[in-house]
Amino acid sequence: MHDCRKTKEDLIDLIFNEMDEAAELRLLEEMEACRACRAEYHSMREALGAFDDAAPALQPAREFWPEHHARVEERLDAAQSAHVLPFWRRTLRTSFSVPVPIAIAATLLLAATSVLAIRSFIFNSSPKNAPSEATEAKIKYVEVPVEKRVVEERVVTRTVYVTKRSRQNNQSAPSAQNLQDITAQYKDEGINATRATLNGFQPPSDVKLTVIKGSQSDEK
Amino acid sequence: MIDGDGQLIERARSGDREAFGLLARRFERRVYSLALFYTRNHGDAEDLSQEVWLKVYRHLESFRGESSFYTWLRQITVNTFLNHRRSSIRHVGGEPQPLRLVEIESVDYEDTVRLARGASMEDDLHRKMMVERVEAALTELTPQQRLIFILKHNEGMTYEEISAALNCSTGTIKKSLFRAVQKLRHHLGLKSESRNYLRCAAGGK
Repeated sequence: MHDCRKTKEDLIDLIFNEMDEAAELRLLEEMEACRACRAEYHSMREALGAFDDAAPALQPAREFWPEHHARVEERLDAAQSAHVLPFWRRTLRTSFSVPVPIAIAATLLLAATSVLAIRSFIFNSSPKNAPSEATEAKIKYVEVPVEKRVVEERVVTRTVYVTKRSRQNNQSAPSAQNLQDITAQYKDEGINATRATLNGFQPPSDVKLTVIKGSQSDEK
Repeated sequence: MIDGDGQLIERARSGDREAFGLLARRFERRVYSLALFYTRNHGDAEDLSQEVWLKVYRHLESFRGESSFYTWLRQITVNTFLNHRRSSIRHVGGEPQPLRLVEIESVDYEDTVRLARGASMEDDLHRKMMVERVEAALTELTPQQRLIFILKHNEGMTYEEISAALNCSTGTIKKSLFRAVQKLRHHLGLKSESRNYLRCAAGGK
């Protein structure tokens, strides 16, 4: 069955010569049987015909072409002379397009590198951080002897005499009255014996006290 | 390829600047016409044409002769158009300026036809109106649609060739062509008898 929509889609191929012979014949038969499709085809043909009639008028006038050719020649001459320029001039005149994101990234990188370089230069050249030669000349090294107290150990030995008799009698340490009697007794014998006590004794602060206790086995 | 083209090409390759100039003179009208249809702007068409010839001059050694010189030239032209389209399109006054009617008048074709036919002023006016409408129809198309239409209708390229040149599908090409024809019909006041695409029961005679 004839389908006008399908036929309309095929008309483009027909009017622009994109159909093979067999398909063209079939389509012409379809159009033969349908007035609407024929009218569609003829209107399309007429539009293209009008374009073909108008196209020359859309072109420039005759006197335009010599000037156009002269401009083309001038452009080519400029391009040709560019080839004989010195390398450094060609390099300076060379241009290329760079995507905007890459250009921005390259600019930021260059700026950051420059800032870091400048900061590093300023930091190293600062007088606070590096002593000058004049400052170094004022510095001289002097040896100063330093006295350091050396702690000496003093051993204080106090011997506490205890009578044999009291020990033999297995008595405890003599009392104060006994000590007076003992002292008097030694004095009578011509022995100047004094009672040894630790009252008022103040050892040096850095003296290490060693208390030696005598025992029965040690006496000979 | 015209025999003369081959000799000019060889001479131009060897550095003969004059030979290249003669070669350019043979094809510059077709290149400029393509550019003018594409841009609808004389200034842009001039720039694109010069850019095309510059590329041809620099890459002439890459032409191997596998196709005609104009086929190779046309491909460079289309690529230049596409590159121009991808980059910023420069318009005068922000919009593409259509050709002025006074420019359309100054053409030897008009004079020739007028003299040959002995046309009346009414015919001249009618012709100018038609040209103006065609111009308006082309202006309503996108640059790619115009380019596809010109490559198909004026240059006679096939769907496959256009598809390869523009890197687009055959469906896109057919749609562009249909849109161009529709615009022309609309501006020229050409209507089909029926716009109802219903199935015909027994033919529409």
